[in-house]
Amino acid sequence: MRMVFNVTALVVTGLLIAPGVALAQGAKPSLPQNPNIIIDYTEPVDPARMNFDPDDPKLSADDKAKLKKLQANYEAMKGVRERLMKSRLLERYRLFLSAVRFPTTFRLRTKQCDELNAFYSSTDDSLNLCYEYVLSFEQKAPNDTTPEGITREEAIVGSIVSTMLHETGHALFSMFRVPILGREEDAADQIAGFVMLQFGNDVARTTIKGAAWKWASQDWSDPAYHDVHSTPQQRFYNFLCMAYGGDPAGFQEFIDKGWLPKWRVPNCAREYQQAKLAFEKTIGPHIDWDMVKRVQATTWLQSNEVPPVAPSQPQTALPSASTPSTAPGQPAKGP
Amino acid sequence: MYRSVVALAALFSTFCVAALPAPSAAQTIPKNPQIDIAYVAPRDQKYQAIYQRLKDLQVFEILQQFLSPLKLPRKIVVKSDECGALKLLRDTNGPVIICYEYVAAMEQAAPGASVVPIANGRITKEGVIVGSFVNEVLSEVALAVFDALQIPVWGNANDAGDNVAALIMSQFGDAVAWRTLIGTSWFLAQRAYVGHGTFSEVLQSSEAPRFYNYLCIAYSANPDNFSFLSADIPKERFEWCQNDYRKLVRSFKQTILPHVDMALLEQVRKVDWMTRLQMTKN
Repeated sequence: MRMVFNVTALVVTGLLIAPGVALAQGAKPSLPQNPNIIIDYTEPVDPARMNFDPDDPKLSADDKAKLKKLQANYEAMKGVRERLMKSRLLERYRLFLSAVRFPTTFRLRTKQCDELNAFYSSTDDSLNLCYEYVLSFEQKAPNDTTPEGITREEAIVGSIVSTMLHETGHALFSMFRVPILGREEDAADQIAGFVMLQFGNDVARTTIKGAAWKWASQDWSDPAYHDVHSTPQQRFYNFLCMAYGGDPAGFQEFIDKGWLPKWRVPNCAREYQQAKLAFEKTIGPHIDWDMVKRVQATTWLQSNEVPPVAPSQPQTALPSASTPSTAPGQPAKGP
Repeated sequence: MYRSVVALAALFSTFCVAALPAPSAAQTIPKNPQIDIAYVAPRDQKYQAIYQRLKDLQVFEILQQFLSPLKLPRKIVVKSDECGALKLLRDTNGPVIICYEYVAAMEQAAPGASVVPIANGRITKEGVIVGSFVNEVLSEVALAVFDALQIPVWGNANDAGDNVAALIMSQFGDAVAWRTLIGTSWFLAQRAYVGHGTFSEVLQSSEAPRFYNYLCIAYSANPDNFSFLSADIPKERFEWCQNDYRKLVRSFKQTILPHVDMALLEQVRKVDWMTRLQMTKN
């Protein structure tokens, strides 16, 4: 576990959205802070504040066990918070969003939620990334590069970035009253996938593959078709398709490895163009496009930590087109 | 097979006549000049009856009238054809193709001769076929309209087509809403849980999510008429239905409605759809 934390700290610090580092290297000019964004790494709930004495003889064994569990959870949440703060995740994400003209204050928040989740709340225009969710990304990410070339870094960074972009999508839809004729949860994934592809090959590869990992590592065996979200299986394919549609040459490996079924491929370019048109028409008017160029010119991944191109002939553990309904080797349950 | 198709045709005929204005009123509603139509003769004889009936009933001519308020910048072609699959992936800016195979699938998914009571209404073979056919046409046409008008579409485009179709079907009176939305839901429920098709058949997302989308819209559009559906929608989805519906209505107003001739729409709306459809049900 300790190793997991250390690796994660390195990953989040080094890979994710690092203009400050780039500036220190003299590579790129700094970006201005978006004045309409507030950040907050909310403290997790300290069980000591419940004023129970764990040594109180009146406490039952069951209660003591619960207290012990609460304390352990608190320490885990504190650890996640510290790692995120050290990585300056929210500060960097705020810079990343510097081109968006938010009409109201947008709050970026990390917090303890007591569930595996991230969500946008329209009541206070806040993006809430739960410590529990981040911890689950850390715990699920492979310790070593998978046979098909998904690195631990890609898995964690892609999971976090895709989650934040997805929730930011909800925020944009709500704040700008964007028309959504399809399903909003799919739309939020589309905006995440589309944005991932606008910041160069390294960012695109890392985040798309990581996002794909996020959904591939969930349980596919009992899909909730009634849910407002598409199934993990569909979301996995949607990210792959968006990427291939936007950059067929860059993501040819998705086809070669059989991750993306051939029957889906012909529509991917159209799906990408659909998202592009929708972005330009509905989000575009609220974007400072000169600022976008500066954001795009910023080095968001440090080159010495960008994962190498995956080996060409790995043994696949990710879903292949020949096994569309279940993914072998998946963890039993996902968030 | 033939008898079923005849039954379909007869019922669809009834629906079309009922769903559209009485002859005098209908005559005042022009056809949309930007919608071209065609009925392509099938190669396989088993679809001949479906082809002939759709043609005889002039279903696409009726569609041309129904969509007369829509202001389109260019032509949209709507046709029926034998596809070699249930559905075809439409080429961007290509024609809308209603496959005879899909119409046949509607028939197969419909209940037999019996009438299935449900809440205060009923589900009949004819009702399912008519409802799901109308939905299919509107949903596919919606995709072509998105292209023609360069409508920004967030979310899966096919879901967006479904949503627009469902919203339209919910706006023309209770009887129309019942027949089309419940008919479609029944069809999708059968499709969702009875076997799997070829890749061509699953080009759209699984039918099960579509099934819940329709239930959600039907309920939200008219909670009184469709309150019984709340039992079919799991709680965690149900609590989102109304909000999603309001967003859909707003989105429709923002994107589609600016391209609608409101005066013509008023004419279409003045038609007594409910009475006509009640006559059908009786």
